Amino acid sequence: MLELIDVQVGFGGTQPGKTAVVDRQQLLDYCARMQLRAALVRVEPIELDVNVIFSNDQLFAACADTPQLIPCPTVLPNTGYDLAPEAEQIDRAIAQGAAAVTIRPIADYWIIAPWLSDSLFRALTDRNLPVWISSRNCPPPQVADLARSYPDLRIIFAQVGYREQRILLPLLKSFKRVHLSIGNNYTLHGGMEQLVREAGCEQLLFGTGFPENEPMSAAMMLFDSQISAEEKEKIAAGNFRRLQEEIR
Amino acid sequence: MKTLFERARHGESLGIDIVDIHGHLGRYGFTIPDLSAASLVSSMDRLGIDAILCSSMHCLTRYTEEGNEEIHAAMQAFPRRICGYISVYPGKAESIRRSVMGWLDKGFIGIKLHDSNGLPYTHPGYEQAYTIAEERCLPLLLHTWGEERQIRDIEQLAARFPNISFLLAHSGSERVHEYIRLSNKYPHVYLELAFSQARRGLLEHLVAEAGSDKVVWGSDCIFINQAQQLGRVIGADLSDAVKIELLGANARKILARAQQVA
Repeated sequence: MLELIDVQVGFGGTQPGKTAVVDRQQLLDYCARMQLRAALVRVEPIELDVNVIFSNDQLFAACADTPQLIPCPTVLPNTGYDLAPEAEQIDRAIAQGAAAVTIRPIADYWIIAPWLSDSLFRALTDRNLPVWISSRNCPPPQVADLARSYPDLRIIFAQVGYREQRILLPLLKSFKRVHLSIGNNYTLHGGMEQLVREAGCEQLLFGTGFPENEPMSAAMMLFDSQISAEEKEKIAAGNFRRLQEEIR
Repeated sequence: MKTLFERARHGESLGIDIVDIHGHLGRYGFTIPDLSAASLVSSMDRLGIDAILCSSMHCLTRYTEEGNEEIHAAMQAFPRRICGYISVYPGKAESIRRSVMGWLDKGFIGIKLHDSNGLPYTHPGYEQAYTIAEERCLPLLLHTWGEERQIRDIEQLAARFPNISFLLAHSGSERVHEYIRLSNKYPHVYLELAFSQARRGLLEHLVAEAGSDKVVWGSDCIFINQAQQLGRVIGADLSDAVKIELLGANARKILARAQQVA
């Protein structure tokens, strides 16, 4: 059975108009059902996540003493002097077991620009800590600019659409530190196979989209993909483990 | 014995009868790396899917006849694996009748309409197609996205044509309650599942509210990935008996009705 590490998992966030929240136990139940080795967990949905310090603390508490749950907290540029300095945010994340951090420029009211966010991305690069970016909060041209400006920055690009192959393939070929989650909504017939053929398998990561999306969808797409067993193993868990090992 | 979920998680074949009631062939605006019918059949072989009902991407355009030709070529290349939906663009009654009957004679087994052409399903130019579908108890796959006009027009048609099996594509994509209402009101209205987002819990909700006999599986492949859409059913919190209904048994009943009349 293929070992899986899911890099596109959320919990704990509130969705406007919905009373149900996916809690830690549901997250663990999900991991058990899918027999995941681990999950990189963020707070999601983010629409009502108004206090990043509070939600990061919640995330760290949920993941504490549970190696299967790897926190992916949110970091921000401290350009309003209302947060810890960038390097301190990243030190704390790593100390709490984070294997990546997420940025949400639109939701958190900032932009990616050298005069604003340079300290943040330099601090991430110094530690080789990957940054998890959703296409909902940061479209491909910004990801490309970021990758060009910080060639050593590890990027996990997620929640991409199946219609974006014309953009994603050159993005991966041009920027070898950009990694792509195959989780929802990347559901292209023959898409993963083409990415592996043209750009190699090292930049692809298994993700699902839980709890928003049915996780078995992405899993079956990976199981069924026409790539070698070794390539599947790397996408399923090996590539993420390599990123983890590179953190310093 | 392993459940379907366990078999899938272990990468084993599912070993059940699967019919994909919503497929496509042909080029679209975004990249689809392999457009060939052979790649579709290869996907079906790997996943244990016996047959797929396909229309051309030209169902969105006025070039439906060219699209039907494309599907016919695939049907000939892969008999009984690729089955055809006739695409129709509104026209004069006589020419529509000639076209639809001609394609039925060539083995097509249903009709697919898409309203991205900007024309409502109640357009008078579709009338002959509906008349034939009614006479032959054909399945009629209609693209939907929960839009008020779509639901209203389909309700009108469902009331007028009780022998057509109406398959509402992308059921639950928006305004889920309207899909359930239509399905509960009309015994010949079915909820088709293709939906790239594979929203967790939606499928279980549709089955609970509409009944497992009213929900049918389609993938929208090659527009989207067939395994990903199959995983949506396999991962759902439903019994294996219900999954078997959704993945094949319900489609077989719909197709058997049409074949009896033919």
